[in-house]
Amino acid sequence: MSEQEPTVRERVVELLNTAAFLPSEKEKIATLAKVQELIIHLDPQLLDSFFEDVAAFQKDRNSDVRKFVVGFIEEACKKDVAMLPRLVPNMQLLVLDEAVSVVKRVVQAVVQLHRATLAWLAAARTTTPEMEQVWHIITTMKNTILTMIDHDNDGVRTQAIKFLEAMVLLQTYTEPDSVTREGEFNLDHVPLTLKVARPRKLEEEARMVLGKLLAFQGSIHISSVNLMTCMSSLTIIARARPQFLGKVVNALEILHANLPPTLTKSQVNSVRKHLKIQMINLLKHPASYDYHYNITTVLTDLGMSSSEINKAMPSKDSMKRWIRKDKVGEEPIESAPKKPRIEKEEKKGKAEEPPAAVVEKTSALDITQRWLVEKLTPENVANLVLVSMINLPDEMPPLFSAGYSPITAAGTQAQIQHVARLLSSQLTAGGVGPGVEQVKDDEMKAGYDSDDESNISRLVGGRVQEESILVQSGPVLVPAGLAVRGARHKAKTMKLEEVTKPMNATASAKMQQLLLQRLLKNHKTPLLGSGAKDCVRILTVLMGSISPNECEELEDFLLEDMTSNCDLLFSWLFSEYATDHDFSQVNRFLGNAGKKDKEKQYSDIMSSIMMKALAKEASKERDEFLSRLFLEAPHVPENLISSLVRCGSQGSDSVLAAANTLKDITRWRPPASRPALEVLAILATHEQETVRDQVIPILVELCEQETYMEIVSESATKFLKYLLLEAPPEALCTHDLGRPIQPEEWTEASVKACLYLHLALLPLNQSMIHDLAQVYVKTVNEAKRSILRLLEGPIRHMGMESPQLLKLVETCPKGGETLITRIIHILTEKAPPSEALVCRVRELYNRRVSDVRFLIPVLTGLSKKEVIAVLPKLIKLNPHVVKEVFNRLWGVTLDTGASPLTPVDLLVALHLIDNDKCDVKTVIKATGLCFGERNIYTAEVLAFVLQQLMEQPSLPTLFMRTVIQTLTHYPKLLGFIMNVLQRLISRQVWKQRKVWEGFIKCCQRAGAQSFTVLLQLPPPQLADVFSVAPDLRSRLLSHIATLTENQRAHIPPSLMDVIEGRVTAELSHPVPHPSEVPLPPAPES
Amino acid sequence: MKNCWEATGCEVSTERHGRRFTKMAELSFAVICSSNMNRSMEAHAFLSKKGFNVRSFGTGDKVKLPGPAPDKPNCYEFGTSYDDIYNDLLKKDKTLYTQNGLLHMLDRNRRIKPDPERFQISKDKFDIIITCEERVYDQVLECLEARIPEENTPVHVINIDIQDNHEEATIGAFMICELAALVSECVLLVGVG
Repeated sequence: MSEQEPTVRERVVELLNTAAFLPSEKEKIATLAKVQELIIHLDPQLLDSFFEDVAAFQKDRNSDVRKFVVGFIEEACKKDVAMLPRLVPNMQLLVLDEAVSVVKRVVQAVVQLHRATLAWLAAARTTTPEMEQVWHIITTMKNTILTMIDHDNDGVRTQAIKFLEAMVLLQTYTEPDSVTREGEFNLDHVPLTLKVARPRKLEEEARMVLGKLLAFQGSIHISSVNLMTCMSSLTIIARARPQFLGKVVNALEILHANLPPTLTKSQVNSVRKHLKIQMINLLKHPASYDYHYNITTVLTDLGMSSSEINKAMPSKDSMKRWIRKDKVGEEPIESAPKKPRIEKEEKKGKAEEPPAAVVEKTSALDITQRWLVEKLTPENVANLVLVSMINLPDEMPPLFSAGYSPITAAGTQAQIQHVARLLSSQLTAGGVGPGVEQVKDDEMKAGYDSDDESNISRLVGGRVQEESILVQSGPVLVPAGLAVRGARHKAKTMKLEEVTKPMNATASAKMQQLLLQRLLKNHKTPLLGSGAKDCVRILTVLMGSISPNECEELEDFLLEDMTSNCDLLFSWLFSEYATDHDFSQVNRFLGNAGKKDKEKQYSDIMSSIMMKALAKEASKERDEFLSRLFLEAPHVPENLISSLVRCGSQGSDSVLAAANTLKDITRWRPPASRPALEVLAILATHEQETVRDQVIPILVELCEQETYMEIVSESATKFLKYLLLEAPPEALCTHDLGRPIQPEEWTEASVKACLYLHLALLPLNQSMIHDLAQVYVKTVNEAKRSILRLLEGPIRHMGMESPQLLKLVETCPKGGETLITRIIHILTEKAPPSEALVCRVRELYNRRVSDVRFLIPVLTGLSKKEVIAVLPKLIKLNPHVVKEVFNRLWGVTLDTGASPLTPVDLLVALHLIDNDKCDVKTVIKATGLCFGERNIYTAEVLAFVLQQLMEQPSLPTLFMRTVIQTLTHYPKLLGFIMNVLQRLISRQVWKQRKVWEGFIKCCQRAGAQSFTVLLQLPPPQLADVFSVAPDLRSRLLSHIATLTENQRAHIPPSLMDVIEGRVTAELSHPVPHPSEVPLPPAPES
Repeated sequence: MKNCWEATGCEVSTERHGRRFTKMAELSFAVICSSNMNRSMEAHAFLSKKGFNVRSFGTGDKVKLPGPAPDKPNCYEFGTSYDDIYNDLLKKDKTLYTQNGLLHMLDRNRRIKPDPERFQISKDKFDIIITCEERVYDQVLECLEARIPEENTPVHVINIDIQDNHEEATIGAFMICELAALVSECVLLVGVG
């Protein structure tokens, strides 16, 4: 041994040295673990010399290392009780550790220390002051941990539960039936004479703690892990201390009926499984005999079969033994279901003074249950079920489906009892029912006695004792390894104020100034170690105490080299801010030095720095500095933010930087967001497009947040309303916004400046369109033009479905028709009009604005009838517009959407227009447009049109004109047209003068082909033809000459007479002048 | 992994000086099945190959292995070494037990540790206990709950249902390993360490 000792000692020293400098926590812990093994287990004699060194690691930064120290202390104290006074104070510090994991470990360790300390006290013959101190500390820690049951961290709560459990076990007496651990220390081994820790008081405390545990288990918001821990803790207590069994069974029963609502389905499963295990464990305990009925009911509810329950029951023998034992100890008392177990306590010879016995009264639960059983008649139950039907949820809750087991013995007395029990536990938990009331009354009565008693005992025992501890002049326990060693040989301190005299004020001020200048000059020269930091610190303090003049200089100096002086500047700003708000100690110190009111406040300094920076030439460096200044300064006054507008005149880079800074201010400094946004908004009205293009997207991005949106919208509307003024206001015409001269009247540029922001926001905040409409109505023409021109983009974005747009169309302000028309045009340019839009427009047209142009964009959305009705009005418009209308109807501009009028319908409708509504010339122009579109009006389409026109009861005036035009356009239709002419003859075409004229024209055009038709005319009409077109006669004659004899025979003689000129037609009516019906243009070829 | 139960019970043991602290750096795992033969040993082999600090146990009354017929299993006391069981089976019916893979399994087991261990007798402490069957989970909890605690060291008990055959055992071992790796990574694990 003597040979080994130095080596072990040396190894320990070496390990400790290595551990102190190891960078990795894992290695550190491993090394320390070796030390622990050596000094606790291998050579306990060394413990005394090295424990301090290990304990010193509790200051380590890493929580794992600190946790290790806790473990070490636990081990050391268990090994050697003499360590308790030296290490328990360390624990007291550790229990307040900020790392949760360390706290958990401490709680775990204190269980052991608590037990060890009590054992130590119990074993000692006399109690030394040291021991009392240790006990005092332990008690303090105990109380700290007791409050941890409400700790924020779930894991700490778990440990606290286990701590409470251990406390109850330690601070109560065992009973004959107790399940105990080998070598367990508890109140049995504590002599009653122990003054420091009175067994009776300890037991009282244990009961209180148990109450706390029971209450904790019943809390609604308990987590599933803690609930299960709590359940097992209670079971352990019940098995180890059967006197509490009744309470625990009761609590578990209530829990079973009232599982916390916060648990998920799988957690409910786990908890129920756990409950089953606990109940089986309790069932196995012989002392649970009285509660077998309650336990088995719960178990059956949990889905256990009776055979399984029987298997878990303790053997008959042990039960019999239990019953017999009970009977022997008991006086013949009435057969109450719960037997008080005071007798057993008394039987134990150990206790000279019987511990405060709890007479177990029939609980509130039992009373209510009994009361309920009487009430549960079939009628009542049926009523109950029916009444509660209403409250059933629509879906089966997971808790129910997980926990439901079919009722087997419905209606039996046992089941009624069980239902009563369940109801009773609900009622009791809710604090109603006769049981609760009775118990309350009992407590009231009992309350006085117990209160008196406890008051007295406290006066005699606890209070006095506590004070005595405080007064005691015993050794004060200091945490090991933490005290500064070597402090004992303290040198005599030199007191500065004794050897120095105060300097006069001017000299001191001058010195200060000199010092400041020197430091400033040199502060950038690299200093070793913490020198640089200290230098900044000193400078900061000095700067805080300078006069305004020096302040100016200082500011200039700092701004000379903005980037590198930044740190200094900020530390100055922060110190000024702290001074302003009375945060800093320096303030007090300086205040004492005679500077009560500072001449220059933080905000002044801030603003003068800002102004100086802004006045500097724009550069990347300066912009970065400004941005930092705004974002990092402790506080930015609002008026300073507005001054950022000045960047507007300093080039687009500068503006971009300023805009981004403003954006960041908005985001990160919420109180300053309003001024920042306002400045941004003003910048958005900048003269230069580059600037606007940078600012507006930023604003739009910010506007995704509603609060910002409001502010920006306000500004935008404000700018918009400028348009109501006669000339651009001053606010818009500043140098910063690129408009140094205030113009006399609105120009396109200045109008646009007011509009940009508003229009950019429109798609985001659509209700703003109403403002725009209001302004539009009242503003000058220049502005109107600009609005109409710029509107396109935003309106496209808003789309046809926008409720705000629809609303605007619906409530079109007077004078805003052009605006509305434009909007509708934009909307329908790319897509067919929606139902809602059409509806709104139609409404507007019918009710208020009878301008037909209104309808054009939505034409395709109207019905055929409506379109035909407005057609006369439409074709009267400017030819370009008419063309546009037709294009819409033909579907040329739009691919989608069926037009209400097919091309055929359109042409037919044009023919059918009443002359009163529209003069013929306009109609002819319109039909001319149709004929122009040869892709649409193909031969087939025209044939179809002619067909339909033929079917009209009276032939339209323009019919023949169209026929001729068709012939001109499509000569291949000649045959078809001849056919038409023939049919016209049958309809006695000569009765309609104009048509007849056209007929003759057509025959002239058709030439030889028309001869067969001509030959079918009655003679007078043929004569009429010849009189109008004499050339036809000769051609017809030569034609007849070519005919065969046979064919000639078919021509009636009267007709031949006319042809050969033997009969001149006697006209019944004068031939109309040809010019009345304008002829179609001659064919080009 | 159809069913997963988790509970934090508290494990108790008599002192084993110093053990705790060597374990601080890493978590200690226990894998438990019924007979400490197939599922737990497969996971034991796999986890220790991956470098985990792992041990395995069984919770049954006896070590049960399939026999010539379903109603005639081979039963051994816990404590009988894998080697002995191997030789016994070899003697009984070499072809049958080679064919159903028992001999192969026992051969692997005896390379890992000497004999099957019963969890209920063990006094060791673990950070994580993984069980392979709900019945086993119940037995573990029952065993832990039945003790009167001393040190209140927390332990996580997690059940992963694995059928008792070779294929499922292999898949189960993968799952357990994945879980172990995830848990080891999770520093915030409540109550561990």
